[in-house]
Amino acid sequence: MPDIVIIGAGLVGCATAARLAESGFRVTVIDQAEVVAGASGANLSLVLWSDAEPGISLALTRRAWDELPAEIADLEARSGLNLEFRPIHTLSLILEGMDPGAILAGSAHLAEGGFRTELIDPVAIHGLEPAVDLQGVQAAVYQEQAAINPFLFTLAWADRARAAGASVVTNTRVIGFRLDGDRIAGLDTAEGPVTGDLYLLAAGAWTRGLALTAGIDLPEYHITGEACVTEPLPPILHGLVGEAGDRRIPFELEIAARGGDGRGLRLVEFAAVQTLSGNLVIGQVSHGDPGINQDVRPGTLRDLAAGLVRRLPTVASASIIRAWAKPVPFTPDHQPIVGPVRSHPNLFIASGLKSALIITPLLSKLIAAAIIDGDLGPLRAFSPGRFEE
Amino acid sequence: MGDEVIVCRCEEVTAGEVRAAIRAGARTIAAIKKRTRAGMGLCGGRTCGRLLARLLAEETGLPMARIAPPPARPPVRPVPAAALAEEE
Repeated sequence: MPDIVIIGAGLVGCATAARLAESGFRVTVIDQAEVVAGASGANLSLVLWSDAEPGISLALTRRAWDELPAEIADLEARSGLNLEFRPIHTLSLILEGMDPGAILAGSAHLAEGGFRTELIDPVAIHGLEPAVDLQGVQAAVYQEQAAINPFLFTLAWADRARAAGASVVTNTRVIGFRLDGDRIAGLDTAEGPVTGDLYLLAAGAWTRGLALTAGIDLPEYHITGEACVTEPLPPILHGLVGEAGDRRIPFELEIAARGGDGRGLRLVEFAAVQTLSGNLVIGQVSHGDPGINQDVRPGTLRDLAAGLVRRLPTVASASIIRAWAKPVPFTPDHQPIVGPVRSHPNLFIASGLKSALIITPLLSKLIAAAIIDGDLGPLRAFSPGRFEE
Repeated sequence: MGDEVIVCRCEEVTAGEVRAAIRAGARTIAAIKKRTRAGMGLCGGRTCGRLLARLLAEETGLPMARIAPPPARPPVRPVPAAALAEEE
């Protein structure tokens, strides 16, 4: 059995480590920081099927969604953790000047996949979320999705990997790959070399830079996403409330068109959700940084707070207690990069996921199967080589 | 310090829960926060930060000087949203 080295202790790295360790492989996961230090934990905690197409296919999303409750029950039973998985509705507020018919038409494929997506009017919105100020809102897209605690979700996979014998090495920065011909011979890390037989690169926004050290240039870019949380509040929001927009994909495509250097590009999209601890999580300001930036910028708290004051005026006096900035990877075709690298036979990549929280339990099973049997199955669509063709 | 002692008052996290997080692999204050929520409350870890560092040092044998403070997360102190929204 080959020894497997996984770079990145995010959701994908930890879940795949658990699958492989449970199949009897000797697995080492290595990360520059703690478990779930990157984009896997820096999000609005949403388990979304609504990113399907242009994200991953409806068929895979449907399968992942249907399998998720059993996967989470299993994970909770093994870890003893409460992952705070719960169904919530998501409301995308359609502001005046937008075309609700066109927005709904853009979601028609979701309904075909069996996911309930419908337009509701302001009276119905008020019935669902009475605290939300509906000034300038003509309708909303209503969807029944879910939320989870992304820290505990990832930690539960890390625990499961360790329980199956995997070693999870944190606070150890990977500097790059060491090559022997076209094979990966090892990793150089800040603590010395690490070697294995097969390497899985699942390092989120750090994936591209690490792949470059092996001479592989992946068209994977990132935005820097900034968000914040308020102090814990009594229940005020039942689900996710956001202002609808179609600016995210053009924003990402503009960064990709500039080869990843989106310096000066900035996007503000308001969305809020309440955690089970009572904190409101408020997103998001996005930037097109060419490098990795984890410092919250001036103006971010103002714009996030303004969204909260505008849409949830009854809690305008709530304190903002913490904000963060994290790089979030994306690809030009919105599909993840998952699969073996043709030029380097012992390197497998898994990165650039759009909705990692819904898809990872299934994706990690498919990756493990691909590594064990060599059968890529539905992962073929995500091949790292697809951009060359 | 007994396991029942509350080290993070904001999130009501006990020394025992912090020790369990360290036993489960946490090697930094940032890692303890993610598993237990210690330091994620209104005070931003101002009260519990040193206690978490001490527990880490005791459990792992690392000297206090090697325990990194958690990444700074603005704002420095809680600020009402309405005040932030009016900033120029």
